Amino acid sequence: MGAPPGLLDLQRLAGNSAVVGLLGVQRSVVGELGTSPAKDRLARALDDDHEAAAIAAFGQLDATETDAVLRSDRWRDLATGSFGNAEMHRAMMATGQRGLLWHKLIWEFDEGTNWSQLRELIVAAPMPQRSQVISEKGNWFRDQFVGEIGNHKMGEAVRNMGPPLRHQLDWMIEEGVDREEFEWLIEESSPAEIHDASKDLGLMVRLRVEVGQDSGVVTALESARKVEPTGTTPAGPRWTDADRAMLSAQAAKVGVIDARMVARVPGAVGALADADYTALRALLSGAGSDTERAFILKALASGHTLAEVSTFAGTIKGMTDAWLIQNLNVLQITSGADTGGGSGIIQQFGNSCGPTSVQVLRAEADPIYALSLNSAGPVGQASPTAVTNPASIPNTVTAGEQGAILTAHAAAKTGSAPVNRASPGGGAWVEADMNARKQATGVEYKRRDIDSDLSVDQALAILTINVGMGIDVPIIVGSKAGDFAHYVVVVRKDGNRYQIHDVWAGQTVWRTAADFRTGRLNLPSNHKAISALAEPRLVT
Amino acid sequence: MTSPDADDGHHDLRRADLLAVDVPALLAAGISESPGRIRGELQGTGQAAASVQLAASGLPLDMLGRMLTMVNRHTWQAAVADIDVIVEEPDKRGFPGASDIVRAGIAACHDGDDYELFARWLANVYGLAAIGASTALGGAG
Repeated sequence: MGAPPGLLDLQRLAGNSAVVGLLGVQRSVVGELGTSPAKDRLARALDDDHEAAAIAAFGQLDATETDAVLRSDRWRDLATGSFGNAEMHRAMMATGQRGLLWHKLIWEFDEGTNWSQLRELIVAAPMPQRSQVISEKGNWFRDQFVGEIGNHKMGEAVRNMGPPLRHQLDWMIEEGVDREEFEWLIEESSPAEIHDASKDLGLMVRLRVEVGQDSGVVTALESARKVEPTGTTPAGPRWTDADRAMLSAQAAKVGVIDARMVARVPGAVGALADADYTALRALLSGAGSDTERAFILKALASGHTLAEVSTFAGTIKGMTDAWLIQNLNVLQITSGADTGGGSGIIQQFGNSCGPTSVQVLRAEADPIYALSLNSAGPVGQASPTAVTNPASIPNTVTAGEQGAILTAHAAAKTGSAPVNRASPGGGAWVEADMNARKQATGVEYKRRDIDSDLSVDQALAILTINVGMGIDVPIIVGSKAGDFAHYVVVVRKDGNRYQIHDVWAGQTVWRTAADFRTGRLNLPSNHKAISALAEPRLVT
Repeated sequence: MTSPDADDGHHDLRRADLLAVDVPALLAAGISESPGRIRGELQGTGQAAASVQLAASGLPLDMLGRMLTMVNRHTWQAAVADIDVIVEEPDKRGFPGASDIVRAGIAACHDGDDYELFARWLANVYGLAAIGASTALGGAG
């Protein structure tokens, strides 16, 4: 076998002594790096430019050897001298789950790479390793990705990389990706991630510049800063660590108190007169369980006087959690501990979907109000002829409020008067009625239409952020955008599924983001597409 | 013209009869007489007796309303499993008669259709109690 062409060139240009010197250096590289049989095989293969053997040798390193090799600049220099772009990627992939994504990316960027290779490397790595890369403080990786991949790929890259959301957003802003990429990312993010990102004020400013003032998504994100999704509240003179721990634990249960209402509790407690505060403490210490205490505090936070809260505390005293959750909600509470299977609140008239949604919003915030509706008979039943045969109404309190809202709209010529369920039609826009209850809910709503005001992706991002805080979001559904047929309320989110209470049937159903995007909601009321939403804004 | 509220003796007799009806036993005898049709005795005497007896026990109307709401929130099988929660409030607040009626009704159901009929029956009891409360006919005693 003759000498490699490179050596012949060296001999011709610099003489035998240069060749001997080089071979000595190469021998020393192999001798120095080949400290174990596997490393020795790798060093020799790289040194001999045997790419296939070198790639195979990478696959034969154990975890410790892989880590040591990937951390070494000398090994990397040896590899970049031997490998081309594609071979370097194959070598990194050959290490499997051994070694850090961090180092593998450095090796690939050092050699030269492309998005396809980067994606393959990222998705093969465990999530903590991806998080380590996207959280890198010096922005070296961010700048490498911005330089290497384009606008459309960056959204995919950060979603593959995973949270923290604040770094994902930072990378996307730096790249300047399209607005829907931000919306998709937020729609897929957890409440905790959204809250964490919302606290980075500099990021929020950059995001607002990037996606525009009219997005609605940034506004929602800025609200998310005010609500700790874990139900953590600040300590204060009247709000002890024990209070904080108790309420945070209750916030983790479905159907008791959500993050948005938890956030209002310390302020409500702090605003009490001294005598009322003393009385509240007596109520709390006399309560039979922490669940009772949480409902008492929720009632206070929804704006009730202490006298009203005291009466309420007496009614619920000593009742089990199951009883409390069933009687202090108007929806089916579906969770692992759920005991209900029937229907939640239902519209009592053919056109009272809006007023019923208003009732859902208030009842979700105000347990005294929810109890009052449940105390007046089944909220989940309705007469088909409530207008022509009022004696057939099963719950006159629920029907009375719904009818009053519609009657007021009819008088103001902003809607139609109640009609029988047997002949549905008409109705009213009820955002003003929602806002009239903002003392209880702590939220104001503004109607925004799909297509003319926002896209479905924006709507999903707004839903994700708000529902993650525990803020219910009424949406209007129909056959397609522009068909404003029916109010329903989005009340929970779990993964990529949204829980929707359809007030026509009183049923609470789960639908995916894809169902929204494709107009295949197929709700119990037979409506398929979102056509508008009532965008929430925290007011307290 | 005689007021419908006037006590002509006949009213007292009917009321005494209704107070003596064993409503849980009526329920235990079965909910439906044919598919979708509640037994006539339950529909007539049973409803009226339950309404009068619950009012006579002093059961607050809102407590009955809450129990009715919970019956409606549950499917038949869930109600069987969750019966203690459904009747928890009257049990704990000292109204065993209300608890007995609902327990008997749920136990008498053979399927979801029976349960629907029972829920409707209880709603009618609530309706009668509400009328009684608003006209002071259903007061205690």
